[in-house]
This record gives sequence, structure tokens and C-alpha cells, in this order.
Amino acid sequence: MTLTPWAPSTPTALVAGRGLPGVALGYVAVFVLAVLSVHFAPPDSDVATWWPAAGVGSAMVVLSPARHWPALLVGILVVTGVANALEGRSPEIAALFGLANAAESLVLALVLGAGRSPRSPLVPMRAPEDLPRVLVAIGAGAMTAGTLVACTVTVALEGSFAVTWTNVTAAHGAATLLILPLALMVGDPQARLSDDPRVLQVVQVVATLSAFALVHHSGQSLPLAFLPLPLLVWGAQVLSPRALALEALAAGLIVTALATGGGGPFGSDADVSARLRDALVQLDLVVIALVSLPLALNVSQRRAALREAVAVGETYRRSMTESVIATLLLRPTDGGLQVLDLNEPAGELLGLRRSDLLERDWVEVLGPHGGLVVDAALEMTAGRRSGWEHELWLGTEPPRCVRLALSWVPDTSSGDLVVAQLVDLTAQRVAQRSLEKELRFSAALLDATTGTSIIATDRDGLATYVNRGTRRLLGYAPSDLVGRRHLVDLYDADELRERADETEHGAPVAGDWTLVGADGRRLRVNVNVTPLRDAGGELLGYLQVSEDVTERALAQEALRAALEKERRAVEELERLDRSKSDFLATVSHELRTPMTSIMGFNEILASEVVGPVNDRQREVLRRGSRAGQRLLGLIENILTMSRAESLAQSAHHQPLDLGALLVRVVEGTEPLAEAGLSVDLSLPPGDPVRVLGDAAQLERALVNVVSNALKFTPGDGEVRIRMETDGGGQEGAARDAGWAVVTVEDTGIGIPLEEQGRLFERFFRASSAVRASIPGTGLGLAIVRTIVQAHAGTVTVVSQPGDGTTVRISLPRLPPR
Amino acid sequence: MARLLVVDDDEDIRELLSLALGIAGHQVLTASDGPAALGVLAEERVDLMVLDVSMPQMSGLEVARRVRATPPLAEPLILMLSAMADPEDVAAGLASGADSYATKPFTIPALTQAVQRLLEGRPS
Repeated sequence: MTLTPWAPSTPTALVAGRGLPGVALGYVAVFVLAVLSVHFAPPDSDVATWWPAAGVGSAMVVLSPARHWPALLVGILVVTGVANALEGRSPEIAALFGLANAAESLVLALVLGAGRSPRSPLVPMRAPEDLPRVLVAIGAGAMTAGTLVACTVTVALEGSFAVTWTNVTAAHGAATLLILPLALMVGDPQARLSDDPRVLQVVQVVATLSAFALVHHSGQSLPLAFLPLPLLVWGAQVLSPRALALEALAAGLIVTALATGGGGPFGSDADVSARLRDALVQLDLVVIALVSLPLALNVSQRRAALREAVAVGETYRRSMTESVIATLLLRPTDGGLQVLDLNEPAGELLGLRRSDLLERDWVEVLGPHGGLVVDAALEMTAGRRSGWEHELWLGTEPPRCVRLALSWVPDTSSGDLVVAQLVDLTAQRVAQRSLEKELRFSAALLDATTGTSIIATDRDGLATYVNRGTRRLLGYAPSDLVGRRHLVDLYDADELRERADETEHGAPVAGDWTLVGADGRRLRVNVNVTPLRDAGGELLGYLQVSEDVTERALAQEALRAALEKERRAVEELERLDRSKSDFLATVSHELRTPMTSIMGFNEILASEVVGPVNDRQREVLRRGSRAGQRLLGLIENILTMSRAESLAQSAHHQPLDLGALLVRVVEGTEPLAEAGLSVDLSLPPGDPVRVLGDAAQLERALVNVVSNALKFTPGDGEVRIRMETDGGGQEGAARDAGWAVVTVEDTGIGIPLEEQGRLFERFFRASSAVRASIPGTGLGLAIVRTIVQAHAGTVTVVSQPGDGTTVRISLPRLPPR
Repeated sequence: MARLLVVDDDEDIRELLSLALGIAGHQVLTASDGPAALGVLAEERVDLMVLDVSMPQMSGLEVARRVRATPPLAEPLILMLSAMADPEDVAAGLASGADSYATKPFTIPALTQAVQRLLEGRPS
């Protein structure tokens, strides 16, 4: 339920609402009442006992706007004058009485409206404190009328001024007192308010009016005028102010009518003069009005206030229950806050049922922060603060972060209350915490990269974040750059211009650039600029990551120089190697050619094609040939040696079957063996043993070893040649397939122990071989070692002088196919 | 009997080959360098050339290429003779147009046999 606020309506509205018919009705009422009043006036009185016409007339004026007053006053003058004249009063007297009535209404209206704003000149009738002004106005009006009428009576009718003044004033005042308040209540909804049942109200009115009728009826003369007063008081509590005013008016009519007829406590006492009786009746009416009206207004006011309070309370309660904000009503107790009421969101937020919370001490629910909240509530109770707001984590499960706002609402129907409102910030805080954690981590990460400058910018390239590495690299502190410098300011302007085609929006994107440090130092920096975008793809700014490559550039330069030097050295070596090869080729050609001729001519001589050769000559030729052969062999070995060395790093190596090669070598060298020598060759079963190498070179090495064994082993001896595999990954590892080992073991003359260390020297010949007159150049094993080493292999010689020699060649084996 | 042309800048070799091949029953012409050999070929019918590789002015390889590239010159068999015995050298010799390749040092019988085999392999 809501109350329509009532503002006193303007008279214009009232009159406009009723218009001319209202005014006409008013005049008719004034006329009829005046005629009746004059008609029933006591025969011994110059004036009427009761003059309700005054009340109606004054009410008409009061309820009308001031601009209509002249017309209304003239109307009142005319109507009351005519009414007096019709009842037998002389026209002059009647006119003067009419004038008195008009003057009364004017004075009343003026006093009532005095000091009030023209916009709402009407006095409201809502509260007891509204009454004094009304009473004063009525009194002033009544006395005006009394004075004018008394003057008229004194002058024209020779009556008593005092008696007339008293009677007229009382008649007018009492009547107006009963009528004007009623008029002033017109249009005020509060004046119609009553809480009690209609039936009760009807009973009350009937009872009251009956009491008045009983007290004042003609057969009753006891002084019981006080009797209806309790009923009036009751009426003031039960009826609306308007109904009560009507009741009082009706009571006034009854009292006046019956008293005039001689009934009641004021009617029959012979000791009381008619004039005094009339005055007493009017006084009774005044008492009726003064007893009932203030009380009724008071009750009405309280009633309205209560309704408003109820309505406000209802609004408040509804706004609480319907609110989406968790709200609790709390009552401070000794060291606690008792829950009086709460809404649904509050229950949800606290994770408790309403029934679990009601009447409970909320501090228990609050957990560790309960004391804080109670202290705040106590301060509010003491009037030191009116509100309190705090963010805290509740002891709920799971814990929730809320913003708790307390407000102090004193003097409610439930006493002093604290209203608690909670806004759940858990999700926000949790998100914020993880974001902060992430940001701290990111910042720590960015700062940790001290060797790298990281600068974030806004969309215009203005620095927004600068890490510590930037100071190290460029000498700029974050405060030098953030919000002050654009990225492009850090670059060498000339370079930016020169390499404009490598920039975007005037700024480099990536690559090596020259930056200018805070001290003007130029450094070479590898730069990478990435656009930063939000989830929607909107450009937020840029991130520039730059790394000092000055040292790297220097290192690169040094490396390049070193490589260049090495390349030159290699070229030089290659050139030398080529010249060596050329030299060797030339030498071999130049040596071989004459040797060929010598040998050829020798042969021709020995073949006797050009003439007979005797035996001695033939022997000479044979020795010459043999020397020539030795020289050719030497040349051959030197060439082989040189070639093996120059081929050591060459890429002539191909996969080859070492077993097959060994077979070929043994077959090829067999003619060298003395008759009766036992030559034994054994190869491992299974897949061919493969090595990576130069077939011709390896064949040469094997030939040298095998032919040595054959040469140095007498006919009754033994040469065992065998090939084995050794080691190697069982898992068939591709890289390490183990070794291919060729062992050539003879039972020959052997090598003296003290000479074994020199076996691989060039041109070294073992003394045993020399003594045995076995030809050789002293290059055989040197060639073997050179070739084997060029194949990443090893060669060892173990010899026992007189017992024989064992040569072992190990070569890295290729995995079987 | 075949007409042979021995081309070698070494006089001893020229003499040795002339003697040996003459003994073997061939008519032997000699030239001391490439241009001279080409001159002989332009005027004389030659069945087989024994051509040294390492010669000043013009190498044996070049001589062989020119002979093969000049149809009016008779198309003699070419036995290339060189002190260089690497497979690459042999391959280069054969690629230039030689029919066979022999290396120095050689023995007289081996050389005369090689010449004989080449001549016999040729349709008369």
C-alpha cells in the first residue's frame, strides 16, 4: 500500500472543481440557514442564537481564490441581508446585518491566510498544531460580526451592546468552529482515513448523537452536558477527522435545536436567563469542537504516520528480500550480532540455510574477521560512525571474498539494527590473484633476461614497459623511456633512412640494427619487433626484443678472418701439393723415360737381334738390367709413397670386399715364394668383410706385407695369412661395426729387437735382410703404414729374430650389407 | 708389314722404338712433337701411332683428338704411351681417341706384342 501525498489544494482548484453550481449551492445554504436562524431566534433576543450561515459563508470565501472574494462577499451581504429582511427586519437593519456577515468572512479569510504563500494560502487541517490559527481566524471573524451587529442593535434598536456582542460572537464563532474545519478537510485524503470497521463507526455515530439527543431532549433537565464527551473522545479515535467533524456538526445542530426548544441541561432552568442559556449552548458547542477536533487530528496524524511507517517498512523489507545483493538484518547484542533476517542471496553466499542463520550470532559465521565486524558495529552503536565497509575473506567452505558494508539503522520497530550487505568478489579476487601472480612472473622473467632489452609500447610506439636488460644494454632506465620515448628514437636515424625498405611504419621489424645508447654509444643489436594483440585481434602495441650482437659480430668477423686464413693456407697447401704432385709426375716421367730406354736397349742387345752376345757380355747386360730394375722399383715406391700421402685425405674411398682383395694379393704374390714354402690363407665365414678404402692403395699395402713375408721366409718355412673380425656392436650399430684384422705371420728370419722400433722409417732396412742379400728399397713398411693410417687403421709388427715376424693390419669395418 | 709413326719428344725412346719395332718387321716413321706428327699424317699413310702423352707444345692427348677430329687424315690406330699410370690418366687417354694405353716403363717384348695385337685386331 502506498500513500498519495496530499498537498493542500489551491482554492482555485476547489472552486473550479465545483464551479458555479457549488457557489450557488453555497448561497442557497447560507440563505436557508440564515432564514432558519432568524426564524428560530428566541423571541426575546435581537439576534439569532446560532448562526451557521456565517460558517458556510466564510468557508466559501476561504475556499475561493482572493480575486473572487469581492463578488462572494457582496453575495453574502445580499443573501444574509435578504434573509434578515424576509424575516421581518427593516431593510436598513437587514443591510447592516448582511454587511456584518460579509465583514466577518473577509476578516476570517484574511487572518487565516495571513503570512501564507499565495500559491497555497489554504490552512491544512491535518494536525493539532493547525488548529490555533483556525481558532484565531474564527474568533477574529466572529468578533467582527459581533461588533458590527452590536453597534447596529445599540444604535438602531436601542439594545444592549454587550449582550448582543456576546451573543452574536458566540453564535457566529461556535457555528463557524463546527463548519469551517469540515470545509478545510475537503479534498484531503488523510481526513477520510479510518482503521476501524464501518459498522463500528456507524455504531459510534449513532451512540454519540443519541447521547446528545438524550441529554438535551425536552424531558431531561439534569446537568448532564458532560455525558457525551467520552463518546466524542471515542469518536475521535474511531472515526476519520472528516466524519468526526460531521458528527460534531450534527451534535451541534441537535444541541442547538433541542436547547432552543427548552430541553436539556440549558433549557429548563428558570434561574438562567435566555441570553445566558444561549451563550452556554454556544459554549457547549465550542467545547464539543475543541474536545473532538484536536484529538481526531492527532489520531489521524498518528494513523497516517503509522501507515507510512508500515509502508516504508514494507518497501524496505521487499527491497531487501527481492534484492540480488546479499543482505542481512543484524541486531547488536553483547559482543555479537544476532541475525534477525536475511535474504536468499545472503544464504547462498554464506552457504547456510536461512533457518541455520536466523537468531544465530553472525560473528561465528564470519570466521576470523568477526571481531573486526563487531567492533565496527559497536562504534556505530556508540554513534561514532554511521557506515563501515571492508573487504574480507569469509570462513565459509570454500572461502569467499566479500565486500561487507554495514549501515546503522537506529530506532526501528525492532530496535537499533545493523544492515549488512555483502558483495561476492571471490571470482574477481581469484582471477586477480592469478593474474597478479602471472604478471609478477612475467615481470620477473622479463627482468631476469638481463642480457636482452625488452621494451613494450603502445600502438603509437611509445614505451610502456622497459625491462632491466635495457639499462644494461642501452643505459636507459625505465623512467627514461616509459611514456617519454618512441621506439624509433632509439635507432640510428641515418640507418633508418638508408634501410627504409626494411621498416614498417617507419620502425624496424627484425634483423641487425644500430641502436644509440643513453651515452650516445652505438651498438649493433639484433632486433625483433612483434605486434601485441588482444583476444579480439585488436592491436595493443608492440614488443621489441633486442640483443647485443656487437660481440657476436666481432666474433663472426674474427671467425671469418680465421676461416679465410685457413682457406688461404689450405689453398697454399693444395698448391704446394699440386706442385709436389707435378714435381713427382715430372720426376717419374723424367726418370722412367731414360730408364725405359736403358732397359730397352739392354734387352735389344741381350736378344742378339743386333748382333751376337757372348756369355761374359750377357752377364754384364744382366747386371745392368738388374740395377735398372732396382732403380725402377725405387722410383715406383717413391711414387707410391707420395701418392699415398697425398691421397690420405682424398675422397677416393669406396666400400670394398677386403677378403676378395686379400685373395687377389696372395694369388698375385705367390710367384715370389720359394719352392716348398707353405702359404696358408684363411677368411672368416659368412658375409664378406667390407671396408671403406682405395682398392689400389690397400692392395699395395697388402702386397708389401705379404711379399715381405714371402721374401723373408725360406723354402721350408710357413706363411699364414688370415683375416678376422674383431669387436663391433652386437646390436649392429651402423657407426661401429668393429675391425677387420689381417694377420700375416711368417717363420722367416725375423727382425733384431733393437731395430724393430725403426721398421716404419723410410729407407730403413733391417740388418738381417741386408745380410741375407734380400733386395728391397726400405720403403715397403713405410708405405704400408702410410696407407693403413690413411684408412684410419693401425699396423703393428711383432718379430722374434730367427723365428719369424707377425704383421697385423686393422681396418675399420663397414657393417655387413 | 705395317707403317708405324712413333711420336715422342725423347730421342732415345724414338730410337729404341724405331729399332725394336723395325726389328719386329714394321716400317717406322718418327716425329718429335705433335705438330710434326700431324704433318707426317697429312702426307703419309700410317697404320698405327705410338704416341707419347707428355710432350712440350702439344700433348699426346691433343694430338689424338686432332687426328680423330680431322677425317681427311688417315685414321691410324693409336697406342698411347705414358709414364702416368693412374686410372684417370688411362681414361683420359682413351677418351681422347686412343685405341690402347701402355705405360712406361715397358719392356720391348710387351710393347711389340701390344702393337701386334692392335694391328691384328684391325680389319685389313
